[in-house]
Amino acid sequence: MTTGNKIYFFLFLILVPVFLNAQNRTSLLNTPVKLPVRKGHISYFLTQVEQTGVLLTYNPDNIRMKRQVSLSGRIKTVGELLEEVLRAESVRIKEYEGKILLISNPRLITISGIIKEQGSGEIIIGANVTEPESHSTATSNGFGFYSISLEKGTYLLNITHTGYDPVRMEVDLENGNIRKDIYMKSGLDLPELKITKSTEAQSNLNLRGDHVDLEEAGKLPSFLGEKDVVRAVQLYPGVAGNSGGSVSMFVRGGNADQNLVTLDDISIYNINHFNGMFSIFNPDVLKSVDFYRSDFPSKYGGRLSSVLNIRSRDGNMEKYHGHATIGLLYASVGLEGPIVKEKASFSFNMRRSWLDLLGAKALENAGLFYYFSDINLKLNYIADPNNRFYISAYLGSDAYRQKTNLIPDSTNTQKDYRSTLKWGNRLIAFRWNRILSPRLFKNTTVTFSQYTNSFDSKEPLIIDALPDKIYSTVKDYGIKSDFNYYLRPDLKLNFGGGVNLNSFIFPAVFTSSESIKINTLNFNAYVEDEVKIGDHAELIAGLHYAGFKSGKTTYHTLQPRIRLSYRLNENQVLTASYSKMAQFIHQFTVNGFSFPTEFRIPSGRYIKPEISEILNLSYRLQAGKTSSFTIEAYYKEMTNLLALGSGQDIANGYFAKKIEDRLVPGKGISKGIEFSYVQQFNWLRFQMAYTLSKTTGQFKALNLGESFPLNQDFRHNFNIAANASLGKRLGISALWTYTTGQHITVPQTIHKSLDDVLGNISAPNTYIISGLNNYTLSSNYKLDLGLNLTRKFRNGHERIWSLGMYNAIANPQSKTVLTSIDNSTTHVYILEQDKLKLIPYFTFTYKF
Amino acid sequence: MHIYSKKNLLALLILLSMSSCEKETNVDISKNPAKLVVLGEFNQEDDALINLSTSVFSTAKGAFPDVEDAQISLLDKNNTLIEKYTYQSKGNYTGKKAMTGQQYKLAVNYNGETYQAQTTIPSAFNLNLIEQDASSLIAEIVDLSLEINAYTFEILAKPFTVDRYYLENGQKIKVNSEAEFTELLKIKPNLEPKRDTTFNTKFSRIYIETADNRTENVKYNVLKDNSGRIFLTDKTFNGGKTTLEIYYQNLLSNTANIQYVLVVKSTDPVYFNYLYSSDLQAAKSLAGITDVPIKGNIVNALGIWGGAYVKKIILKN
Repeated sequence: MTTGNKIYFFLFLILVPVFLNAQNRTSLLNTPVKLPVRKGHISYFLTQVEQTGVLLTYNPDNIRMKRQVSLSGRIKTVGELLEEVLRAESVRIKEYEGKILLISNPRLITISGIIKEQGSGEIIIGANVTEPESHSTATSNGFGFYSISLEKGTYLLNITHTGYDPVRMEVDLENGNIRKDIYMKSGLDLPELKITKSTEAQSNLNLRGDHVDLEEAGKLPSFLGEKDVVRAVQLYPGVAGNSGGSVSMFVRGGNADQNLVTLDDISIYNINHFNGMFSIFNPDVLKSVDFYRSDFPSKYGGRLSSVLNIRSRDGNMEKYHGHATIGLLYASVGLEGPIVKEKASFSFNMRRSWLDLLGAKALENAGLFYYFSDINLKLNYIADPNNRFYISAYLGSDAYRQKTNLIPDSTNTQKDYRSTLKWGNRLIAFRWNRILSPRLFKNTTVTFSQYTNSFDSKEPLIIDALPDKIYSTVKDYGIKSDFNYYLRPDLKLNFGGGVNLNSFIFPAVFTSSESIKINTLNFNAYVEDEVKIGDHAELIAGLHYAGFKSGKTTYHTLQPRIRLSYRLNENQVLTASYSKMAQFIHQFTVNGFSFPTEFRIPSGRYIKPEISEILNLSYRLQAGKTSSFTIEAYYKEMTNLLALGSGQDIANGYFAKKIEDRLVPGKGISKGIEFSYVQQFNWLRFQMAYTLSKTTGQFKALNLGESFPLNQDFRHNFNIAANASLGKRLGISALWTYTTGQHITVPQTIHKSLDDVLGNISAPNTYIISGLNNYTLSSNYKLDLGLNLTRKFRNGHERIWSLGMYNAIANPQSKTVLTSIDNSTTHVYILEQDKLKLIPYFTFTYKF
Repeated sequence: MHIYSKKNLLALLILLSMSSCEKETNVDISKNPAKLVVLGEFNQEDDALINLSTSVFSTAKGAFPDVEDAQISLLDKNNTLIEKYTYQSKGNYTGKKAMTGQQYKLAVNYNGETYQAQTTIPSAFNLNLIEQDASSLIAEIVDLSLEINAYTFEILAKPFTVDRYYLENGQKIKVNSEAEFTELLKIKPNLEPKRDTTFNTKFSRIYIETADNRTENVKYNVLKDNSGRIFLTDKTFNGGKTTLEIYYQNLLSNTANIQYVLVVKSTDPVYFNYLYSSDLQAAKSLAGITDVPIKGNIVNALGIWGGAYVKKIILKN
C-alpha cells in the first residue's frame, strides 16, 4: 500500500463515526436554498427552509428558537443549513415520507465517580461498569474514574473487576447528573466469588493490551525467589528474552530498546538491577501493569515495539500496613497508610541487597562486590471530590566494585586500586487529577527522569589507558495532559499532549573524558475516539502526532492507530488493528552490567526516526467462564532501523567517535502467529503461550547488504506456567520455557589469505561466512519450580515462605558466546559462557 | 557470627547466585565442499602473481591444497587475450605487470569450469616522504585524478642478508663483516669490496597508527589499537594532494638486516573493501568474534584479484 493510499485508508476509518452519524442525504435535504441574511434566530432559518417548499416537522419546545446563529460556511442546500443551524441543539435530522423531521434526542443523565477498594481507598483501574439491558459499558481509567450516560430511568449497574467481589448498584436517574464513588471488596479471600479475567472479558469487548495479573505473577517461581513483574510479561506470546534469565524483552522482533517502560507515567531508560537479572520494579509497590504489543493506544509514542505501563500503589487511606521480606539477595520493607484519613496517604518501600554487608573487602578482592538499593515513595492528597494530587518518586542505585592488584616496581609503589561501576535511576512525578465535568476527566503530569552511569577506575598513573572517570547520563523533563471525554454512551474521546526536554551526555571515546552532549525537544499530541457501531462492532481510531527537534533538525510524524473489533457472539471476538509508531531516542546498551560507553542517541541530522507499522489480527474465544483462547497474527515492518556498524563494540570500547559513524541504518520485518491459552479453576491456574515468528533485517552496510536473521529472531517460543493451591496454606507453581537458540555467526569455510600470497610472514587465514547469524545454537529451555507456604493470622497479619528451584532442568541462553577456528582440525569452536545453572532459593515475608 | 562462618556463608551465596557453566560446541567445517580460491594483486610495480588453492585446510597436506592444473588468462576490457599466465610452483601463476588506468579481466579455467574476475588499475599518483624520524613519518600523496581513490598505507619489514666478498683470480673470497673489509683494505688498498644482498621473499608488516580523522582507522576505531594498514578514502583531497602522518614504534633503528619500505596503494574499491574487511576480520577474531563477511570479486569462487597502483619508498635510518 502506498503512503497516499494509507492516508486515504486512515481518513476513511477515522471518519467512519462521522459517516455513521450522518443522516441519509436524500432529495429533500438537497433542496437548494438561498439566504439573503447570514445571521439570525434559529426560527428565522427554519422559516427560510419552509419557504423552499420543504415541510418541516418539529417540537418548538425542544429547540432554542430564539438563539442567534451566524452561518460560517457556504450554505447551498437545506441539509447543510439545518446541519449548521442545529449543530448545538439536541435534535436529529431525518427525512421521512416527504417531510423533514427534527427529532429530539433523549436527555442523557451521567453517573460518574471513582472506583475504589473497600477498606484501603486504593483506586481500581480497569473495572467495568455495565448496564445489562442497554449493553452500555464504561471502564474505569488509569485513575479509577468512570462515567456512564443513560437515559432517564432506574437501572441496575454491575461493577466487576478481576479479584474483586462484584458490586450491583441500583441507580435512579431522574433529575441531574449523579456523582457516585463505588467501593469494591477484594475477593482474594473468597475464591468462590473471584471474578476471573475470563468472565470479565465477556462483558468487555474491547480489551486492549494485556493487564498483568499481579497476584498470579507473584506465585510463579523466580530467580533467587525475587518476584519480578517483567518475568510475568515475558510469558506473553510474542515476548522473548526469558531464556537467558535476564529481564530483557524482545517484543515481536523488536530490540530491547524498543520498549516504552513507564512507572507512573515517567519514562525509564534502564530497568536493570543485578546484571540484568532483576528489574527496578519492586513487586510490593505495584498496583497495575498494562502491556501493549499491538493495538497501541494513541496516547503512547516514542518506541516501536511495546508499551509497559506500570502504576504504583497510592497507599492505604484507612489503615497502616507494612511488610518485611528477606531473601537470598536482598531484603525489603514497606509501609503504607493514611496521613489524613480518607484525604491523604503515603506508600514507602525500600529494597537493598545485603551480601556486601557481610564482607565488602573479600568480595572486592574476588571481583564480586555488588549491591543495589531502591526506594519508592508515593504521596497522594484528595483536595476535594474533583481534585486529587500525587507525588511519586523512585531512587535506585547499583554498584559493582573490584580490586585489581599490581606488582610494585621502581615506577610504581601502589599495590592495588579499585574500580567502581555505578548506575541508577532517579524518577519523580507530580500529578494532578481533575474531574472537569461528569464526562470529562483530566490528568496533568509533570515528570523528571534521570539515568546515570559512571565508571570510576581510580587506577594509578602508570596505567594511563583510561581516564579517572567516565560517565553517561540522560535527563528527561516532561509535562503532559491527558483528557478522557465520555461524549455519548457510544462515543468516548481521548485526547491530550505534552512536551519532553531531553539531555544526553555520554563519552565520545573510551580513552578520554571527552563527552558528547545533546539536547532535544519532543512534543506530541493525540486524539482518539472509541465508537460503538451497532451491537457487535467497536472502532477505535486515533492519531498520534510527534515532533522531535535535535539541533537544527526537526522531524514531524503522524502515527495513525486503528482498531476494529467485531463480536461474533457473546464468547468470540475478532479484532483487526493497524498501528504506526515512531522512535526518536535509540539506545545501544551493554546487556547486564551497564557501562557508560553504552549510549542513547536521539534522531538528528544524520539519524532518522525509526518507524514501525504493525498489522494485527486476533481471534479471542471465551470458552465458558474458566478458559480463554487467543490466536493472533501480526506483520511488522520497521524502517530506519539502527544497528551498530561492523566491528563497533561498545562493551570493549571500540567504537567510532562520531555517533553517525557507529551506526548503520536498515530495515526489518517481523511476522508471526501467537497462541495463548488460560485455564482458571479455583484451585489451579494454567497458562500457555506459543509464538511462531520470523524476524529479519537488511542493512546496506552489514552482511554485504543482504537480509539476515536479527539477534531477536526466535522461531519458536513456548512457555507453560501453572499455579496450584493445595489447601489454604500451600501453593505450588511450575514454569516451563522453551525457545529456539540464539543466532550466532560462524564461518562456513576457511582459506589461505591474500597476505600469505603477497608474502606476509604472519598472515592469519581468511574465513568465509555465508551471512550474519547463520548458525543457531541449541534450543534453550528451563523448568522452574516453586512452593509458597502462606499462613494468615487472626489479626490479619500474614507470613509467607517461598522456596524453589530456578533452572531445575535447563539449558539456558548464555550471556557470552565466543567462537574461534581450530585450523588443525578445521573445526569452529563455540564456547557458550555464563549459563546459569540450578539455583535454589528461599524468601521469607511477613505482612502486617 | 565468626568471620570464617561469614565467609563460608558468603561463598555459598555467591556460588549460588553467580554460578554458571559453559558449553562447548564444535562445528566441523571440513565437510563443506571445497571451493576454488583465487588470490592475487595486480599492479604496475610488480610482476603479476596469482595463487590458486582450494578452501578448507587439509590436515593431510598440512596446508591448503594448491591448484596446479589450471589455466589463467589475462584479458583486456574487450575480452581480448593479453597473455596466459605461467605456472611456477605451489599454486603460483605469474605474468606481466599491469598498466596504469587499464581495466582487466581474468579467466581461470579449472576442472572444466571458468571463473572470472575483473578489476581496474587506478590512475597514477606521486608519493613523497616529507618527514621521517624514529617514531613517525609524514607521507605526501599527489593525486591529480578526479577519481575517488581508496588508499592503503603500510610499512613492510623485509629481512635481508649481505654476503661480502672480493674477487681474487675470479674467485669469490668471502669476508665476514665490514670491519674485516676495512682491515683488509689497509693491507690491500686495491681490493674491491663487493656485496650480494639477498632479500627474504617474506616480509612482516609493522604496526602503524595515525591520528588522522579522515582515515577509516580513526573514523571507525575498530581495527584495534595497532593495525598493519591505514585506510584512507580520498574524498577530502580529490584531484589534489594531501599528507598523512604515520606513527610507529621505534623499529626503524634496526636497519642492519631489515629493510623498511613504505608502501602506498591506490586500490580498486572492491579491493579496498576486501583489505579492510580482512583486517577487521583478523582484529575481531582475536576477541572470539567471527562475524565479518568478506566479499571478493571472483565469480563463483572465493578470493580477490585486486587492482592497485603501488608506490614504495625505502625508509632510511
